[in-house]
Amino acid sequence: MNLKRLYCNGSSLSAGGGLYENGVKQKYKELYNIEWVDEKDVTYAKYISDYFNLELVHDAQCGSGAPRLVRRTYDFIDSIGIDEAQKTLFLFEITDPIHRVDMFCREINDHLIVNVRYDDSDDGSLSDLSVVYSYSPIKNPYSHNLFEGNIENQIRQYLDNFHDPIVYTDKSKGELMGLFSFMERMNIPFFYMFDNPTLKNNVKFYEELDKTHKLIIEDGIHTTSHFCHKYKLTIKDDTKGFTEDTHPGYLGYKQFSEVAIKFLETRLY
Amino acid sequence: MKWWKYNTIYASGSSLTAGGGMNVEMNKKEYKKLLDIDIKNEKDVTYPKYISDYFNCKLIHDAQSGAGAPRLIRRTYNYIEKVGIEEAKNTLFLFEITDPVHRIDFFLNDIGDYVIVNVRYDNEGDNDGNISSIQIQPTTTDDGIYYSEEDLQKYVNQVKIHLEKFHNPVTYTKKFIGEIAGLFAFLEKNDIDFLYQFDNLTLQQPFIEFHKTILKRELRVKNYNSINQYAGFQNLTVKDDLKGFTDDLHPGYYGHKLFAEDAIKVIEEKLKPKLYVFGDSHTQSFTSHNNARSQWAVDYIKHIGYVPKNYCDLISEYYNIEVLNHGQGGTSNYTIFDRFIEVYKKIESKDIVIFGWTSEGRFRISDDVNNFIDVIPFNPHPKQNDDVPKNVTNTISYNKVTYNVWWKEIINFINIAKGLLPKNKNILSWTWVDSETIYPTRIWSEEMLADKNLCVFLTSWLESDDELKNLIKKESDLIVDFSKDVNLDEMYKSMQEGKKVTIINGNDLSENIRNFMKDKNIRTKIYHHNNYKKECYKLFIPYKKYTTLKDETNNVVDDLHTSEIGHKELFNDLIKNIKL
Repeated sequence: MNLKRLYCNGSSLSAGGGLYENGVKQKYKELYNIEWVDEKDVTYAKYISDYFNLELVHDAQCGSGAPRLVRRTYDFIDSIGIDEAQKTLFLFEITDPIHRVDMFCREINDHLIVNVRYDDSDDGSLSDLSVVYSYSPIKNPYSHNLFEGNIENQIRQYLDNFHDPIVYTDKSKGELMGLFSFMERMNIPFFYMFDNPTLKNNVKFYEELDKTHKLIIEDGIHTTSHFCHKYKLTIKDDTKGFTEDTHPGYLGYKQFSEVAIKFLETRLY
Repeated sequence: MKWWKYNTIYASGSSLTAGGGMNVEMNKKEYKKLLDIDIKNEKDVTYPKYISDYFNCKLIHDAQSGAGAPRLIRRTYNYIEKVGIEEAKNTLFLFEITDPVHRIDFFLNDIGDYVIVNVRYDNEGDNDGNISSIQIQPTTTDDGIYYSEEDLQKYVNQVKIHLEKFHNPVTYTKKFIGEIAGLFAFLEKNDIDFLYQFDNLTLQQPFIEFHKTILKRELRVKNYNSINQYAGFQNLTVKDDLKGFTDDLHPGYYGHKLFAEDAIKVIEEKLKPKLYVFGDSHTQSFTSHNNARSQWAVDYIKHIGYVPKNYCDLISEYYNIEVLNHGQGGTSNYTIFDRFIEVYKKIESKDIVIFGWTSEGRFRISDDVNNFIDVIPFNPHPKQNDDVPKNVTNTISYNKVTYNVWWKEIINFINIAKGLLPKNKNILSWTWVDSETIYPTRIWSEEMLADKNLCVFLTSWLESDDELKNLIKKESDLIVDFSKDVNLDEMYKSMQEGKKVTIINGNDLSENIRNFMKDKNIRTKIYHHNNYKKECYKLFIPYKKYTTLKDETNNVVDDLHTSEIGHKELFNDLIKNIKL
């Protein structure tokens, strides 16, 4: 195995969503005597990189979707070059872009995570909007308050007038196939998990790609979310109902990573 | 143009491809006045139209003035999604890639479609990258509704405000540089043909290693990167056509026409398949045989009065493609395959490869000066090495024609060729060698007979062909069918008496039998039931005995090479199997 680092990208399911909450952290300390500062240190990406002794580039972000993943992966490959990318194992967790808009903001000269909800209205109009740089307090220079008011209103206006979630999602499907094709052609190792298989609209393309690039956990279990729900290893389960948060819990990540490591061992050696 | 496999050309790009400049009414009038050229729809006088007309296929002209890479990428995926990957393989995609920095692909909910927003940053004196102006290009939505610039004017202010706050041209460009590479990789992966022009080569820079892998896709015409350069450097712009009537530097009428003519040559060069043929004298051309003064060829040509075409020439002529004929008289299959190995790296996925396999009895030895030389046994040719007598080569050859396991080599050769050229759809094989299988007259060697604990184990009686069954029956003193009740003691006794015992249907032995055989130290020599020759012929085009010189000339030329009529028959059979 000629790998130097692991690059992980995905949503809260990979980023340790929910595990950054202070109350949750305290509960874990109380129940299990487990402590952490950065929630990413207790996610599957960290365990996998530790096991294989790889440097970790943990680029997953709560609230992010496929568009950010595609953009940041190209950027990362560009920044390290193809040779180094070939020595990097990429782990992708793909979530539906429909609620996850990747948007540049000149105010901070960086991209924001824009989460939208349409489900409270029959006409498909926006019902809920959340604009953040990052949900996690770790390595987050921007308070959520910065985006409340003006920026949020402007984004709402944009989404109301210039954004169609279906069209946006369809666009992402092509971009994902492009990214995977590019990486495969350049012999850059990667594995993916799709939280929602409808994103794999091009059946023939993915039938072929799945054979070599799908991170296989078990039948019907594609992501940490499926795994933790099945085995009752969500934060809610771990904390005995202290919270309603059903993101993967500490124990869920740990067990998931053990299964993933076994799979990766069969593919990487 | 029988080699042309595409039913559609899909062209996407900017005004450089969409006929920008020739859409302006004043310019159209000037073209009529000055050059008597009537331009109704400017897209009808652009290079994609000329190219699709030349190749006689449908054109989807999706280029649009002001458009950049983002729109091209989005709409290409949409098109492929709509028609499906299989149909997309019948489309040739022509892409003209322009810098996205001034070209934003922007969705308008009111019209339910994207519009092109062209942005200018260049009027700011302080170079802070602020937007100075935007223009929303007229558009026709996918459901056919046209929106003029005036219709879209009401959105300009709102779009500009949004872009001022939420758009960075550098970030935007960077994103699409990656996605261009992604689109091209996707097309490559799916064997969808495309050719590209980059007006600005720096767009390839971040992923230059990737772009080097797809250089064959570059539509570089007369060494110009793009039609923009082609027309600009050769004074073929709208301005040039109209003698300065306008300052418009888009490619003009003649720019598009001449570019198309030159591009067609490049497209033919890039996409036209070549025919690679490998084989023996049945594949070597009559011209070549005649030049080499092969007696049978000389006699035949004299008899018919001209040099005929063989199947390779006929295929080449049918498709109007170049043939690279590696056939050579007298070669063995080893040499035929060697020739392929020597050149396979030059073979592209579009090319046609045909193997004309020869007699399995031929093989190679080294001659006296350390070169491979093919041995054609049982004929008056002199021996090929003083240390290898003719009776030795004849004996080896007899072994090769009487044991069909030798055809496994040809199966392997074909599989290797297909493995080396995984994307080639047309790797065909044929042979003139009679399809009948010849079996040897015996099975048991003296050594085997001397071994009282040895029996023959046939892997499958059911799947054995009749000739093999007959050989087994003839050559066995006792056939023991393990699917029935067996007297093991009698079997063992027969073996001890030196009888020839063959076991059939013994693939699933009971523990009792296995223990018995172990106790008695009974060993088996496995006879594989496979008829490798039959298996090999399944990889060929259906076997047919083609007309020979002897047949065609009523014995005047007493030779069994394939005749002109035979080659025509073979050509027809091969053509049916070629799928471009």
